[in-house]
Amino acid sequence: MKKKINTILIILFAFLIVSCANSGNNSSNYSSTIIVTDMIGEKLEIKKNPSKVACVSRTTYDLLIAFGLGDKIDGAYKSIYNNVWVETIYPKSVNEYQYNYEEGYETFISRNVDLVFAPEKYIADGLKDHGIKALNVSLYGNPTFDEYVYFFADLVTQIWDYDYVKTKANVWKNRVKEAIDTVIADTKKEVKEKSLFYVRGDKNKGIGYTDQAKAFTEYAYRIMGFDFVGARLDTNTPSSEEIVAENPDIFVIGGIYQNVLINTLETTEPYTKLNAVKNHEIYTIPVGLTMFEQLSAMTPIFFYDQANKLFPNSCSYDVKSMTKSTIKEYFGTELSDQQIEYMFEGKDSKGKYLA
Amino acid sequence: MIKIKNLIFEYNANQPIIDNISFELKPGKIYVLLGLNGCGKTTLIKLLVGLLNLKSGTIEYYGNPIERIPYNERANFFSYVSQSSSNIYDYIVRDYLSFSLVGNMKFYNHPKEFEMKKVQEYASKFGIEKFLNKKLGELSGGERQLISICGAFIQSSKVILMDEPTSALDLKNQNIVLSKLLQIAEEEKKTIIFSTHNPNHALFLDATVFLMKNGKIIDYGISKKIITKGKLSQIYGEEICYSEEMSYKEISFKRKK
Amino acid sequence: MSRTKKIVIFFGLSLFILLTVFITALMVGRYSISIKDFVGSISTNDSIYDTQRSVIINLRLPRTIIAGLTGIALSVSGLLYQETFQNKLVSPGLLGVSNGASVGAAIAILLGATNSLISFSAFVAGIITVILTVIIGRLFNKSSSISLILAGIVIGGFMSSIMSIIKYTADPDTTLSSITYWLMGSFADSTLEKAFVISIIVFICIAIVLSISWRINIVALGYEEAQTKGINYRFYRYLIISIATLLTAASVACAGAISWIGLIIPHIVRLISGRNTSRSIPLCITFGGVFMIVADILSRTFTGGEIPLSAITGAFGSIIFVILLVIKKREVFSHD
Repeated sequence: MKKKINTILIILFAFLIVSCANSGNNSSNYSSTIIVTDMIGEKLEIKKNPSKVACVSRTTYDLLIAFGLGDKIDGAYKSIYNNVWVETIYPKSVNEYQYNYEEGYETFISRNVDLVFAPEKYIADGLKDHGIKALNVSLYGNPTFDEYVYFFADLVTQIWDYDYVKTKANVWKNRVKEAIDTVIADTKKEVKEKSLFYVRGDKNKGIGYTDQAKAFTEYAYRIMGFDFVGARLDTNTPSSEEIVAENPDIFVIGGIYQNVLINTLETTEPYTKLNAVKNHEIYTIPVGLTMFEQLSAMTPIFFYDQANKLFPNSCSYDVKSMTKSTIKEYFGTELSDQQIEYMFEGKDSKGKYLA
Repeated sequence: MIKIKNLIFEYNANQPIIDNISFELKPGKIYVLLGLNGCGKTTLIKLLVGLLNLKSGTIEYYGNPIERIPYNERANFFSYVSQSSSNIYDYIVRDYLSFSLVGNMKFYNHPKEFEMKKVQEYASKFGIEKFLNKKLGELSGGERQLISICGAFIQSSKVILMDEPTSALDLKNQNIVLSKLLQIAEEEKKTIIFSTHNPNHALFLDATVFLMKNGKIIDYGISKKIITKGKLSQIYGEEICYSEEMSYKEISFKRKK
Repeated sequence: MSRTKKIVIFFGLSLFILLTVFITALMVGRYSISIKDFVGSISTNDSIYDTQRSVIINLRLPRTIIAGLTGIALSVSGLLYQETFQNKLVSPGLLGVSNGASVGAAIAILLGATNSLISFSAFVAGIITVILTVIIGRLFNKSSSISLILAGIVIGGFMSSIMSIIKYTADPDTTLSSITYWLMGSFADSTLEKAFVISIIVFICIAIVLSISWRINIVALGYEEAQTKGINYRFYRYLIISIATLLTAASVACAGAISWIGLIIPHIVRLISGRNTSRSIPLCITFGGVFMIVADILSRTFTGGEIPLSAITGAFGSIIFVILLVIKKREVFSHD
C-alpha cells in the first residue's frame, strides 16, 4: 500500500517538474522573438509585434496611440483616465482596462497581456519574477534625460515591425528635433541663464514639488537656456524657505493643479515677495491628453508654447492651430477652437478648471 | 457612630458575599473583623468606605447615609488602609503622606507649610521621620505599611478602616505595626476597624471582635470572650487549640506596657 | 526644600532655553538671514527687509509657535496618560486619538477639503474616537483602567484598518500622496491662524492642568486610594482624559501624527523631578517645547526638503533617553 502511494507521488512530482520545465521553455518557442534593451539597460526576449500591452508607465500611453498602436493597448495606469481630456481626445479609451500602479500579477495573466511597460524597476522585476514580460520605461533618465528623448520611439519601432509605425515614429522624432532647433535658433539673441523653477502641479503638494536633474523638464528648459533650479536641489520637495532662498526669476507650473498653485504663489507670503511673482513671471503648461511637459505626442508643441511664453519678443508660433492639427492627426478627434482655448487655460474640455 | 443595617451585597444573583449584616459601632474603639480568606471581610470594608456601590441596606456615618456624603467630606469620616499599594513605589514618603490631606484642600491648592507641618508631626509620632526623604520603593514592606497607616491618621478622619494591613508582613513587622497602631489609636481616640485572619491580633489589640463566616456575622463581643476554642472552632475547625496544649512552645510578641 | 529648589532652578533654566531656542528658530533656516538683517527686519518697517520679514513672520513664526505648542501638548498629555493609567509605557495615542484624527484628516482630503478644514476634521474625529473608546471601555468594565486601554487598542486598530481602506480607494496621484504626506507629520503647512487656534486650546488646557497639577498625583494612586483620600476619582480621571485628548487632537490636527515625544519627554522629566506631578508638569512644558522646536529646526535647516519629524523625534529622543537611563540606572531599575 505504502509503495503504491510512493509511486503515485513520484509520478505526480515528475509530472510537475516536467510541466514546470515546459512552461519555462515556452518563451523560446515563439516563432519570432526579439531581444530588446529597456531604459535601465536590462535585456529581455519578447514576442515580436505583441497584440496586447499594458501601459502602467504613463509616458508610454499617448505615444503608442500616436504611433498608430492604439488597438494594441489593453489598458493603462488608472489615473491617466481621471483626466477628462482623455475621453474627449481619444474616445476609444473608455473600453480600456484601468490598471493600478501595483496591479496584482494575476490580472496581467488573466487578461493575456503580452507586454507591460513598467514605470519602476521594482515593478518590472516583480512582473518578470512571475513570468510576465515587462520593460522599464520611466519619465526619468540617468544621469539626465538627454539620451532618452527618442528612446521610447526607437524601442517601439524595434518591438513592432510595421512600416506605418516606423513612419509615424520618424515623423514624431523629426518634429521634436525641428521644434528644438527652431526654438534655439529663434531665441539666439535672448538673455539666457535666467533661473527657472518648475512646479509639478499633477499632485496637490504645494509649490515645493518639482523635478530634478533626471527629468525631461530639466532637459527641455536647460536646452532652451534656463538655469533649472530643481537640478541643483537635493530633493524634489523643497521647503518654502528653500524656494525663497533660491528666489527664481521664473515659475512655470504644469498639471491639473496649476490654477490653484498660481493663486497660492500670488496670495501667500512670503512667495509674494519673490522676484518672479513681483514681476509676474509665472507661466503655465497646458494639459491635454497628458501634461504637455511629459514626453508625449505634444512634445514639439510644448517647446513652441513655452518659447512663446518665455521669449515673447522672439517667438510667436501658432501653437493653437498646431495643437488642433496634431490632435486630429494622432488621435482622430477634431477639437473646437473653444476647446483648444480651454486647454491652454488649464481647463477641461467643458471649460471647468481641472482641479 | 456607624450604623449598618440589613447590608446585602452580591456580584451574581443569589450568591451573596455579604448576607444581611447589621451592627452598630461606637466611636473611639477598636473593632476587629475576624474570619477566613473569602468570608467577606474585604468586601464589607470596601462597602464601608464607599469603594463598592450599595445595592441593598444602609450604611450611616454619624447619621449621614454614605452615598449622600460628598467625596471630599468622606475624607473626614473615614480613611482606608489596604493590604498593600503597588503603585506608590516611586513617590517620596513626604510627598505621599501629604496626599492624605487632599480632602480638605481646594482643587488648585498645593500643600503649604501648614500641611507639611502636620506630615512632620505624624511622621515623628510614628517614628518614621528618617524615611521622609526616601522613596517608598526603598523601604521594607513593614515600613511601607507603617507609612500607609500614618497617612490614614494624617487624614484626620473619625474612623480608620484597615483591610488586613499586616497580612504581608513578617512576625516582627506585624508586631511593630500593631504596637504603633494601638498606641496612637488610644492617644487620638480613633475608631478603628481592622480585618484579619489571625485571632491573636484581636487579643493583642484588646478589641471588640466580629466573627465572620460566609458573609454573615456569626458572633461578636470583646476579644477575650470571643477568642476561645469553642467559638473559633466554628470557623477554624476542630483542630484549633491553645498554645499550651501544643507539644512545642509557640513564639509570639509581648504587648508593650 | 532642596528638591523644590532644584526643580525651580531646572524650570528657570529650561524656560530660558525655551526662549533662546524660540528666537533661534526665527533666525535660522534655508533662507539665511544675518543677525543684522534679523534685527532690522523685526525692529524697522524698512521695505528692503520685506522678504526677510515675510520669511520670519509667515514661515518661521507660525511653525515655531505650533512646534512649541505641539511639543508641550504631546509631552503633557503623555505624562497625564502615564500617570492616570499607572503605566509608564503609555503614549498620547493610547485611546485612539491619533488614529482617529488621521482618519478624519484622510476623509477630509478625499473630499477635497481646504487645509484648515482638514485640521478641523482631524481634531473632531480624534475626539469622537476617544469618546467611542470610553463608551466601549465602559461596556467592558466601568472602573478598570485595563478595560479602557483594551478598548483603546481595539478602536485604534479599527481606525487604522479604516485608514488602509481609505488609502486603497484614494487616487494614488492626487489624494493618496496628500494623505501619506499628511500622515508623516510636518509643520510646513503652519499658518498664523492655526497657531492662534492651537494656542487657545493649549493655553486653556495647560491652565487647568497646572491648577490641578498636585491633585493629579492622587488620581495616579488609583481608584481605591484616590477615592478614600477624598477626591471624586471618576470625575478627575475623565477630566484628565478629556484634557489629554484635546491636547493630542489639537496637535495631531496641526502637525500630523508625531511619534515618540509623548512617551519620552515625561520619562526624561521624571528622571529629574521624581514622581510628583506638581514638579513634573512644569518641566514637561518647557522640555517638550524645547525638544519640538529643536526637532523642527533640524528638520528644515539641513536639507532642501524637510526631514520627517517623527524620524528626528524618534532618533534624538531615544538617544537622549538611553544616555539618561545609563546615568540614572540605579534610581530607575533599583526596585522593579
